[in-house]
Amino acid sequence: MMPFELHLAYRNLVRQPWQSAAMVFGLALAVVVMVYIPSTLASFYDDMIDRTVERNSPHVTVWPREKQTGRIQAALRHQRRSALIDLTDRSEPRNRYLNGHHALAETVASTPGVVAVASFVQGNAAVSRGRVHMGITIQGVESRQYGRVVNYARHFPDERVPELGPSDIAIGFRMADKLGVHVGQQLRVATALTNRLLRVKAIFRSGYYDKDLQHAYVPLKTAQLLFRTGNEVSALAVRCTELHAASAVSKDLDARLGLKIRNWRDDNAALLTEIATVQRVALFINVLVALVASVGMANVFSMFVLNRQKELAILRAVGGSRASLRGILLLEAGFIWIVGTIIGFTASLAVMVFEQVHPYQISAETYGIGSYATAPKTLAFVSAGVLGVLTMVLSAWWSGRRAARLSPIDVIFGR
Amino acid sequence: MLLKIDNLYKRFNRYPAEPLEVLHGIDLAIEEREFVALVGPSGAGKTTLLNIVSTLDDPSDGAVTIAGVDVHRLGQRELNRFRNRNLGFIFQDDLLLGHLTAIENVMLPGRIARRHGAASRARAKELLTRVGLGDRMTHLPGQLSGGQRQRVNLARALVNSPALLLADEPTARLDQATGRGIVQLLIELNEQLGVTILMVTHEREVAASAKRTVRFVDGHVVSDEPNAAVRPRGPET
Repeated sequence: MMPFELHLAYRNLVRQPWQSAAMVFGLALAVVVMVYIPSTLASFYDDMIDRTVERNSPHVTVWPREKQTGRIQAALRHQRRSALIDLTDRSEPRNRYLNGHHALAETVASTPGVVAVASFVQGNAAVSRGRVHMGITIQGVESRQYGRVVNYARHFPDERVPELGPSDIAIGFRMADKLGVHVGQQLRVATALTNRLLRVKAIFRSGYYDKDLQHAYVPLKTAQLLFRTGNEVSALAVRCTELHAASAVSKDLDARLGLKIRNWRDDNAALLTEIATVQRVALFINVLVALVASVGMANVFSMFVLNRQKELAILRAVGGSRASLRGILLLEAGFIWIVGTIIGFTASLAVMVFEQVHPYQISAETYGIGSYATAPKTLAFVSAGVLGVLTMVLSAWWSGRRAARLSPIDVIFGR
Repeated sequence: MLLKIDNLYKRFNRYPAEPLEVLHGIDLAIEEREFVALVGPSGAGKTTLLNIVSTLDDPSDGAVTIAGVDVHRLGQRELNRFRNRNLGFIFQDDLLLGHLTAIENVMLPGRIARRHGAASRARAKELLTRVGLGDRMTHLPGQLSGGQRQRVNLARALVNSPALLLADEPTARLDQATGRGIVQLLIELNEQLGVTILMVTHEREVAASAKRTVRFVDGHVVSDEPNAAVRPRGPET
């Protein structure tokens, strides 16, 4: 036979099934919110990082150093406006290249935390086909070398990077749509210094809006010709052992090389700030939900105690201890927590499974990715479970304290 | 001596007024197997005395000793245990848990005492049969009459074989016939099972069923005599 506290707790819950069901439902709803919101944000964040960084960007890039301080002062002194504009434009270092990039690449490759290095040339160009013109970014890479740094093979059909010949170009599918071009057809690519006809060798889908619209790959040598860099390159792309090692690696390189070092956090600072802001709001919402659930449950349990004063007084009168009374309330709260949490978890998982099958569509132009699906996040489930326990324990403790303070005499005799 | 009350006082605070003293130095002793009735007008302090003896209330001064234990010196845990195992209560309201059946209500003190389930159930069945409710064990209190609910109360009060049974106006809310049935049960329990009973009542006829009557007026014991010596009076008001 079960302990009498458990027996009483169970009987108390089933004697008012609708009330108990309402409490279970309320807790389940709170659990769904506490699981789903952080999971969906974490999934969005992971998806963004995966598509913008893991599949599209190096962890760290090494650029030539910008020695601007003296030039800024000189420009100000002589009020040379064009030089000021040139100097303040930090979006990419123009007409500045890395000398001796092979030796530099070896130095970078020997840095702790670095697993692969690739040289590349990058610059702005105009592409046209017929009457359609658009501005794009050309990136000249050695395919195999660059593929070790950025896993961009997944963008291409058969997940293989095509071998690009000197007159070949690989473009994003949105660019191809806009230009009305297919594989095998030609485009005119023009830089500030020259222009060439290139053949579309492959069309890729990176999953990132800007890249699919405005990015193109050519062989390293072709880019060096287009931008007249000679044997120099724009920068080195670096892959670290893992994403979060990038900060330490970039600090190390910055200290040793005296060059401009940027990591993926620098390149996505605005996005990461937005995500961090949303995460803070979500945390606030979660805490609020937990508080509301706690207060609600505490209120309901207080009503329980109020409505059951006589019953609790009887238990005290026949020798039930204060601890037993608290135990009964705690068991009732525990039961509601268990059932409510199971239902909440199940409902959350069901929604997530549905999203995996039918991903949530968002504006690719705004977010860079066109869809995402919420994946179950262990931390969200654990924190929801813990918050739920705290909610129920506090509610039961609060009302149990009240129940334990009841004077049986006052209740029985209505004093 | 089973129950000894020494110089018992009880005062109620009535801030900002002066405290109200309802018991004034009560001395009382009850032997085992006695059946004692406490009678007196309303407000005499009978129920207050019973509440202190039952340990549900505390005295302001004085001592209550039950089976050799000064009960108001016990810690909370010991007191709960003592009350559960040594005292049985019957109140004028049938204080049953409405969502438990008759047998579950009777088993409650036994389960609080962590008695083995089967033994507890067997004892409850025996007591319910004894009080004439053998065929009503699985009924809820709402399905029983007032008299039947009071019998369940009685059975519950006896389940742990208490040293002392305390009854506060057990027939107050019952009709005469039903009340007589309850009183008869008390008499049988006292005579046949040797249960010591301390009963508060304002009904002369009910008091006469006890072996000894202690009369209270304004918080004082004014008489304490075997029932043969009690002069017939009208009902105490």
